[in-house]
Amino acid sequence: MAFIGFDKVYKIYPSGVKALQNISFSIEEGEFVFLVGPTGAGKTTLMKLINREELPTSGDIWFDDIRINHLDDGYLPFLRRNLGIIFQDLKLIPSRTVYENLIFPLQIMGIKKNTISKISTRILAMLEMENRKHHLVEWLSGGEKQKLCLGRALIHQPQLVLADEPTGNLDHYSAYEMVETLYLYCREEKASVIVSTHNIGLLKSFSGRILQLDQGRLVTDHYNYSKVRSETGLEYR
Amino acid sequence: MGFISDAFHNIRNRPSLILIGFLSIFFTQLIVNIFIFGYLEMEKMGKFSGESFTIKAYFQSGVDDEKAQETIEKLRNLPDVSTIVLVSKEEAQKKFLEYFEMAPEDFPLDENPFPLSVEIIPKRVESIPDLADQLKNTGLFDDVIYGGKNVDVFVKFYHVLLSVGSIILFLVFIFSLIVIINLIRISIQSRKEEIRIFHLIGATETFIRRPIIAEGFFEGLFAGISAFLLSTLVFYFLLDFLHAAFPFFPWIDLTDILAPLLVVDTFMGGVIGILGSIISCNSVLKEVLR
Repeated sequence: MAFIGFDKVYKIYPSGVKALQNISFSIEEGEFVFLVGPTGAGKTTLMKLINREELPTSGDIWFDDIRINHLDDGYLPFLRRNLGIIFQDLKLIPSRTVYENLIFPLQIMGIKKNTISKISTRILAMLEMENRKHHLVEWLSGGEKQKLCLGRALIHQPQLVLADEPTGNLDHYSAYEMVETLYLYCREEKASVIVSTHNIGLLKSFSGRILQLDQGRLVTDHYNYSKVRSETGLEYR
Repeated sequence: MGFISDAFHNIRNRPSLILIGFLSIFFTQLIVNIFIFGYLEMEKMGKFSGESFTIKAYFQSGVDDEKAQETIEKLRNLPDVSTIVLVSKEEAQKKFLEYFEMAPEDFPLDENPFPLSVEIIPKRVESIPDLADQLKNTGLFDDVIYGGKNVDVFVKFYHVLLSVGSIILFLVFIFSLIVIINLIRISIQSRKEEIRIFHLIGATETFIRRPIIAEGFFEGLFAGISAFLLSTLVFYFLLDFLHAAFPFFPWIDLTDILAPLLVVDTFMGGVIGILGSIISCNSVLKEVLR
């Protein structure tokens, strides 16, 4: 059984918009996947279906052998704790500090303060945001907010990372750095990562599977091997 | 205990909402405190006056000393009886003679006409009518009399105070609860985005509810404690004045009232806060998390 599976999934919104039509694919553990397509292709809807923010109109969605579209609402938080999500609209809490936003996933999981402190120090160093720890989110630049979202998505070492347009507010170099961090996380932790993006340049820089959506349909599903020289090191560049 | 710091974070971030909730519970508690003061004062007056009101019950002519003694033992166990005394026929006659300053040989009748009787001093004056009814219901007494109109007026006043006080208390409790429910509801609505984010990241409903309920609890608790402190101050000066102005009246002491005030204010304040938060959470969270 695949780690994530979509089986003939349709999503039609009450307005009549057909966001996804007959989507079937599977993703294995440790796979790095780019989800591409024009605006309105259904990328965000697909992400929301995995996170169970939305339910499919028909079809089934599997996550680690669990049919999540039939999952009882009471189990939703436990499903979501296995996910690290970078939302398109960031979903940071402006009135809280960088540190408070960063550690929410760990607090929710009931991790002890000492452990949270150790992990957060490491993540803040990775993000190069140690000096911003006690700053309110509303004081951060767009790029810093995006980096904070990355940290929040990875801090609890999820099995699956969903990144919905994570490079939207970033310059070329920062965008590259962010996807590289996700790529390395995928390799090192054997976690699956799905990155939705418009940035075609990024696809050329990283090896991985590419799922292309157009008008709610899956039009291409292939691997980008062109830059891959080795599966082990940093030679993917 | 992170939810407690979350609760204080919410309190700091919404001072105007919190202030309205605080004042609502605070004034509720002040009204409750005035009622407690009045109630305890009545209790004190009741105990004080109870000793000066005696129930007299006259046995039927067929009841002998042995039966009368047996009845007295039973009556002694009633919870509202403070003291009970059997008045024999001879004592009754003696009292009559003393009252009219007559010598025994001047008594005009050959046979002692006075019935056996009991005199009962109740523990609380408001229990006199009930006690008198219980005596009548034994079927052993021809007549049961007690302090008359004074007792009836006192008892009526006591019951009116209890009834009206209970209604007012209930109404202010409900009013305060409604205010708190709505304020917490507004508070939840104002941070629904934050709550949605928590939920999307994996927070359970319990995790989301805890700081909201703690917020309501602390709001109620602080309002209750504040009401207690202000009431204590006011009652201190009031009782000081009353003791000086009417020294023979049985005023309660401040120490009698402190413990009940503290318990009721903190408990009721906390309960209003918690109850208001729980009701708000139940009605709004489902909508916010949908």
